[in-house]
Amino acid sequence: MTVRIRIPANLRQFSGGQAVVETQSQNVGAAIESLVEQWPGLRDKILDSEGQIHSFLNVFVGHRDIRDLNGVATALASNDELLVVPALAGG
Amino acid sequence: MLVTDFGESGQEKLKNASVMISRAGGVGGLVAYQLAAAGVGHLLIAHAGNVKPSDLNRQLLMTHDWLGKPRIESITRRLNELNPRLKISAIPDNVSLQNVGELVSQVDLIVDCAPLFSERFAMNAAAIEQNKPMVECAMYELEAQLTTIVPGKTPCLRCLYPTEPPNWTRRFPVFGAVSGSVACLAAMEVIKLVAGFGQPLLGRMLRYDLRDMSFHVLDICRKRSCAACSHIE
Repeated sequence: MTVRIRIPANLRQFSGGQAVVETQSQNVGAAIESLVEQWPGLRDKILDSEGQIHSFLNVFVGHRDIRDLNGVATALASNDELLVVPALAGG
Repeated sequence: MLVTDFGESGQEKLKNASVMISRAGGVGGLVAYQLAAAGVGHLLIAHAGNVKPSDLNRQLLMTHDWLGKPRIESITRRLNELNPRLKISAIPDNVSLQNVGELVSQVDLIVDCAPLFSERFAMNAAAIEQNKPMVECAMYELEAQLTTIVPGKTPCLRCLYPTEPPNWTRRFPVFGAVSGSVACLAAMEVIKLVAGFGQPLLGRMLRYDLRDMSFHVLDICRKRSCAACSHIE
């Protein structure tokens, strides 16, 4: 099923400037893996050395934080949107 | 005062309120200006350094004729031009672990507009320790985030981001209209909190991207593992 991943502005230099990347994925972990396979420069920006999502990034499915759901095992439905939301401090 | 659920009592509450803003640049400067216009009685503003040319694309309390002179003087002058009755505590330093407790103790609530995570986390810790609300606003390029933190009731900044991103720097891409947009929304959060009306962003975070005008209101929850606030019931 097709899901959309919204890339934050501070990471778009690693996704070819794209704000939205589409993948075919059943759950969040597969979607993230598909994303970093398409855009390898994103891998260490999103995942730590153990393959976990960095603690300074939050990922939402719809309006829910995956850490409040089933983490990377959170199931996705067709047309779901994943938001990668980074810690920002611009003032 | 014509806003029916705000009214004269809301205006009175603003007059009696004291709000800390750190810093008063692209975001904080506009927060301060809106709160001064709205009639908040006391602003405590912490901002170090002298006005630079690169400030002027967004920091609307800084003026060209004040280049090379202390920012906090330009801030005070501009706010008092708008509202001479406003009490301003002008702090010519940035927030640090050394001064944050004393600064926070002087106000009812905090607006976090700092460009460094060390300052943001210091204010978060002081807000929790002193049980003060903190409006958390940040931006980058054409994106912005906003939430309102009430210790013990909502997630704190460490719940959201336990660690700071390793490569964040004080220099970031910005249009003044983006920093100004989140500043106006943050000022409205302060007004609602102080006057006790409307629905502030408690347990919710507004995230938006003005590049495509996408707006999301996200549910955010406290984390049991939070190093900063998990001890609060």
